[in-house]
Amino acid sequence: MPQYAGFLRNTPDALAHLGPDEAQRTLERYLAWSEDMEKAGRLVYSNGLSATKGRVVRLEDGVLTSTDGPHTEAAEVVGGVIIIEADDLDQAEKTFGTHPHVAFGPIEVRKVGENGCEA
Amino acid sequence: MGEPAGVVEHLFRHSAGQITATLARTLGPARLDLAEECLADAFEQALRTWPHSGVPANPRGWLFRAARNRALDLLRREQTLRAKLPLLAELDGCDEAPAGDAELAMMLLCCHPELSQTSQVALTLRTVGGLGVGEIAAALLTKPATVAQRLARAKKWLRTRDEPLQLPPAEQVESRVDSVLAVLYLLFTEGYDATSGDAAVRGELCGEAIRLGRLLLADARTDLPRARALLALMLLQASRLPARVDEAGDVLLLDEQDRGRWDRRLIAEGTRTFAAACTGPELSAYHVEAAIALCHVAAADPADTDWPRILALYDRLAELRPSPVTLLNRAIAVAMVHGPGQGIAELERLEQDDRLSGHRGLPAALGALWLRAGQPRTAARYYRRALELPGAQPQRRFLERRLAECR
Repeated sequence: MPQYAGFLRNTPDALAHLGPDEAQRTLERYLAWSEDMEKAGRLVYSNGLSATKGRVVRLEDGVLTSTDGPHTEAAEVVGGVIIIEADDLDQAEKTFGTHPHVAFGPIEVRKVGENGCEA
Repeated sequence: MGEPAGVVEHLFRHSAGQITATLARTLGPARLDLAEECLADAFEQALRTWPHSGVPANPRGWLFRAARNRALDLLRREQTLRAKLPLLAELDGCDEAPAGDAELAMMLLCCHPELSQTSQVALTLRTVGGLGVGEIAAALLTKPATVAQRLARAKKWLRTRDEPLQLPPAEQVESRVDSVLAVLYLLFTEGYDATSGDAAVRGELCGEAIRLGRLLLADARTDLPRARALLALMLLQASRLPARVDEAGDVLLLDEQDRGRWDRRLIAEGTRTFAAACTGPELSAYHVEAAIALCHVAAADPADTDWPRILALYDRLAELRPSPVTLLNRAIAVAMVHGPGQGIAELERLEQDDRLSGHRGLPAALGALWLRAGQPRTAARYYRRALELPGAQPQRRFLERRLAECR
């Protein structure tokens, strides 16, 4: 079955204004979503990405440089990646649309390429 | 993936108080803002990673370490606070006992007499209670912006003091505990008889007041008889919470409640705590109020209520704390013992008291007594007057129901 990656994006402070109990309820909703997907056998991979421990490497005029990143000034950062199995892009879109993260930021859904050649 | 989506109830809120207090003890209360920033960061990290990796085995310790590591990062950049680095690095866990100490010291600092009581309440709820600004605003019937402003002022005051987070000198502890008790009393009362919002009862706030009250009793220096008495009072009142509202969420009067739903466990603990409060000569208003609550829970049937004893206790309470609300409740006890006519006479005297103007309780009580006196039309007039005053929705529905009975 084709796999689809969902990139959970949000502004750096989207989750910072939650009170402790709101934060807890949010966490519980996130966990419940993952658990449902796991039970349905559709969850392939799921992980959070550090907001502070990151670098951007690039080759500039033949010299390898690196900068700390992602920059917290950036409008949006990717906070997590989830890969699920879905019949097609429409179903993947629908599934990610039920993720509680959409209350805090967008989820970018992309089909994961199969054997390097993607239609 | 970890275990099923089970997170300890109120994990974040209870951790918030402990982590903030522990960090503030190391960094100094002057840097409360830094402690809060680190806490927010730890929560954000948890929200970002736990949904994927599952909840860690020791979530409290995880949150604490995340907050501490963030503090270390920030401190490395701040020249003035570098000296605190080794101290902070040593903090390796959020063990219950020392965290309790820090929370207690934090609570007493939040209730410093130089702060206004409204600031004391806001600061206590924020730092020790772990409530968000929005929740505090709802609890205190004010706007979030106002709460934020009060908190900012209180923190500014903390910065100017810049003293270590520890219990005040022994001779100041007692008076400081009095301020804490006043704050907890306010918090509990707001939960028990919500003046705002759509819920008649907000058990959350009652539960938090009880938890903080227990913190006072856990330390010999703050375990005063009146602190025990307030905890007993709160436990006994909380025992009736499950029966206090009906299915529609409306308040039920004592004699309408299903007494089988009262929480026997809380009654037992409240009774024990009250006994422990009465081992010395001290008699505070909290003692008397707890004794009144005990009279109510002791009656298996409303008809068994020992009203003469309750009236005697209200007489005593009126001496210790002659507040208009005490006098209002006393008048109701007078009516139960000597008939509605005498109760009405007491209440009419209170109508002269400016402090009760705008308080729904007075016309509502007059309505109830006139109805019992067989004068439904006069009763209806008072209920209508009560309805003209501002108040929460459930209180409105309660009064409308009474008004309907007058026809």
